[in-house]
Amino acid sequence: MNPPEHPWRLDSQALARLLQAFSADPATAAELYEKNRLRLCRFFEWQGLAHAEELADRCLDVLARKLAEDQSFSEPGSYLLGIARRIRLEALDEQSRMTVAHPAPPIQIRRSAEDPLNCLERCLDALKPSDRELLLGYYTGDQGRRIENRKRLAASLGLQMNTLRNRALRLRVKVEQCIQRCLQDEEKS
Amino acid sequence: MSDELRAYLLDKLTQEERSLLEERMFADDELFDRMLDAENDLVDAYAAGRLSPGDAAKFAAGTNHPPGRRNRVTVAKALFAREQTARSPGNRYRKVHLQQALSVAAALVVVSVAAWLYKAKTSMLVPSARIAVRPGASVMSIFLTSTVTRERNAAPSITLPKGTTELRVTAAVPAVTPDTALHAELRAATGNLVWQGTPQSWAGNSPTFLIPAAQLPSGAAELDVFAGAARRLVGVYPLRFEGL
Repeated sequence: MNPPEHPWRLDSQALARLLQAFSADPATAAELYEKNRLRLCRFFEWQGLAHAEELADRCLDVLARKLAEDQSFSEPGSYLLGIARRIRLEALDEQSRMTVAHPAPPIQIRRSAEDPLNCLERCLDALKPSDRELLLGYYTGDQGRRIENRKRLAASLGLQMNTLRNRALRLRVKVEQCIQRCLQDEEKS
Repeated sequence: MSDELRAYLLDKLTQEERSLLEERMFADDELFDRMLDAENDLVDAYAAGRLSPGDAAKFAAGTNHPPGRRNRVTVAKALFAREQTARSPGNRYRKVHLQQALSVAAALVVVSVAAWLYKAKTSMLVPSARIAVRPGASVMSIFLTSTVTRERNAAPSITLPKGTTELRVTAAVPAVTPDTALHAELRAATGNLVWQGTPQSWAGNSPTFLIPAAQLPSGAAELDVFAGAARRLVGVYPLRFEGL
């Protein structure tokens, strides 16, 4: 009788090999890993898939497994897209088949009315004043006004639009994470 | 916002266009950053009510599932509320209503986070809700989805604001289209039927039911959705009503 087959799991050796595939430099490899993971997360989110982070990790696990099996890839990013597309199909199929069968008693989700605004103010206060101004300046106004605002902001800060956009994106992610933590903390308390 | 990126985010591209853009997105860091930027602008436009009804419906369909995007909507609503308040510091009425909408959206972020954490332990699926209160209206809207994993035996608790006359329930029912004949029943915890009806409208492939607030039961309840003459049960949505 054959021994039971164990599912493959990412171990430290496989992770090291995965990072090495992104770059020989550990810091660059870590950055590329995070970048690719974010890309995968958004790829799945943009398809309306619920568990985007889990699906992104599944893609990275598949790549790690292939590398552990001595396959090599000149462009891990392109290979990841192929994996992501396959997993997207499976996940969309799974999601469409989901049904509900369990009645349930309540979970309290009421909150005080001012939580998100309070959290936003708190998280904005935690930024450097210059970062706060950049973030609010970048994301103020409707679509037409935004374009003008951003041009003016880039000119006043002496930045290229790409650089301004990158800074605004990083700041927004930081504030989003801060607000999420803040709301969770308030919920606990 | 680039039209192409916006079209991708609203699922309006052809399969071939989508495929090509995805390949570029995975190869080009700057393009990916522009996608993130376009998404933020889209989320902000949605939060500010600046999308066309069609685009808003498309966007809302996409927000029914991913917790990450729901969190971004909460943040976008907070940014918009802050911007509005800054422009009209004396407009307390508007602020209160925006905050009502924000508070419920925020609550759902918490629920989805709890769901996310719990998911590691179980594969059971129960419904979740995204709730928004239309400022100044007597209709409260609830969006129910059956695809978010949440805590066992958990149901969204809904408190109707004073003066609410109707509850508008939009449900993400799997595998139905506007051509599907649907029938919904709302039952109190006792099992008594308190309301039944058919969809008033559709948001994409999600039916919307309009339930008079006076018919809502207090406490635990369950909305069951049936398809076709054979009354095939296609969705079960446990709820809890407070403050009635």
